[in-house]
Amino acid sequence: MSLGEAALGTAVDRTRLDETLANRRWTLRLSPFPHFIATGVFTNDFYRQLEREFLDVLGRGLADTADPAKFSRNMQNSDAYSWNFPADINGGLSLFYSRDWHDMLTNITKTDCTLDVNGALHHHQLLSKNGSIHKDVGIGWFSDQPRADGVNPMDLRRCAYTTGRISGQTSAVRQTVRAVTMIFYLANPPWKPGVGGETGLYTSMTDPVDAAASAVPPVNNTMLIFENTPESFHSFISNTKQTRNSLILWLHRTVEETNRLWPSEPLYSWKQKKAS
Amino acid sequence: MEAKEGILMKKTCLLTGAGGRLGTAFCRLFHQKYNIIAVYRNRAPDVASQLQQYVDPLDVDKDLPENADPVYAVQANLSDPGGVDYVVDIALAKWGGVDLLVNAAGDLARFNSVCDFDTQAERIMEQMILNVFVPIRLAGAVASKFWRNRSDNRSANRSVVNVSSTAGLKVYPGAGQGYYSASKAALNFLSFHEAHELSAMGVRVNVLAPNTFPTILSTDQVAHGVEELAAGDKNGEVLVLDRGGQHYHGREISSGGYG
Repeated sequence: MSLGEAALGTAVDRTRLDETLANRRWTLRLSPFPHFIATGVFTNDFYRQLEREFLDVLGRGLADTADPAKFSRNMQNSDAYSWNFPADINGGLSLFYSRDWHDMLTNITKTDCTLDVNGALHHHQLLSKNGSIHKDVGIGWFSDQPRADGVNPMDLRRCAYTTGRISGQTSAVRQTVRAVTMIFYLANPPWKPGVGGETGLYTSMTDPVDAAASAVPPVNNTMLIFENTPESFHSFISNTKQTRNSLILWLHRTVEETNRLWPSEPLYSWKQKKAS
Repeated sequence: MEAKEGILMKKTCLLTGAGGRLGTAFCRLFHQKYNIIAVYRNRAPDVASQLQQYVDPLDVDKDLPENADPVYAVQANLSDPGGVDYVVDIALAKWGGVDLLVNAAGDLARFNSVCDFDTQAERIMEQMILNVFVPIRLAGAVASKFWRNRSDNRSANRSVVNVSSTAGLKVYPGAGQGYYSASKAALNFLSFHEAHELSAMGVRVNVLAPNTFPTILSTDQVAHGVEELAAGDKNGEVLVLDRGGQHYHGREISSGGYG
């Protein structure tokens, strides 16, 4: 039994979540693939705290090369600037690296995860390009530096997420596969139809990006969650009228579990051109 | 709910415009009273259905009241040829009948000037088809396929509620509502004629004419107006919901001849 299995079916420790969650009715939609939408996720106070922390990072400026202190353009398949969570992240954002949050996501998605988590803030400048439709059944590398609650946060100082390249004192790294994607929209201007920046959900990889089967708008304090499967086709849709900001979190499962679930599904490796 | 052979039978409601504010509110308020066939064009109603349900993220196995009595969501373009028959056939196949038809689908498009017809003709015709002809065709389809027994219709208090607007009763100058207003006025009068014709079959037809919602009226208030007409015994009436309250606006029937 993996750590993820141990979490399945157990009651979630609600202490911090009870204090911060404002919505206990999340919507599970089945089309075009199962996903959860939650609006008004957090209390106003906690949402404002998250927004302040996002804007604090954004206020440090943008970098076109990797800079751990700033939003950087460091993703090969995305037009977004990204700020990766440090492993010892604190403040409101640390909620997303907590065991409570991890277990809540695995419970609702009924996934068997490894406790390896990777989080980041994303900033799409005005007129960022459409993304490419992908599934995110991709390999992520982790070194081991678990928190006291068992969650093992990504630490880019020790291990490169997409390549497994070792840095510093790390002696071993592990391959995992993305299992759950969570996108939380925050610090955005008020959204209305036509301004773009939605997360498109699709029935196939060959759908036009602008013709999503369902499009989740980046309305502040709203969250999109889905299990990464061979059918979880999704993409960023160009933001034509205003910037678009979000927080993204990935949970992971073992390679063995992924191969058991989908024996014929090729695992995407970030070294190759996006195909998964 | 109706008692039939000792069993409480839920009535069946065929609702169009289910993805809109009014449709979603009606589903949310009355999903326990009716088996609802919720017809939508683009956006499914944000209520429990075969397409979606609700989860408590901290107690995923908890039975939530919001998930009880889910509606059956049907995506259709009612303006397409075959769209009307498609949804009626699904309603009959799913629940075996239709006790209440609520025509809440509407095209709210505004146009610059009623005089500028030619440059906007295609959209104007689309609005007329959805606002005027689709509701009438739906009632006709249900009547021909199911409302054939006057006694059954009367005992089940079967009816049609066509959602119109105060814009179909009075002129709001300068709002670009000329064609919208005309479409609702046409719907009102066709509803009066339909009420007369279907009364022979024991089916009532009424119109709900609300002012703007959710700004002037609450959407729930309008949904309750639909239910008031459905549950009552009026026929050929307009229930007007306006700033000052509500009142009924009856049809004026000629004693003979024609106009």
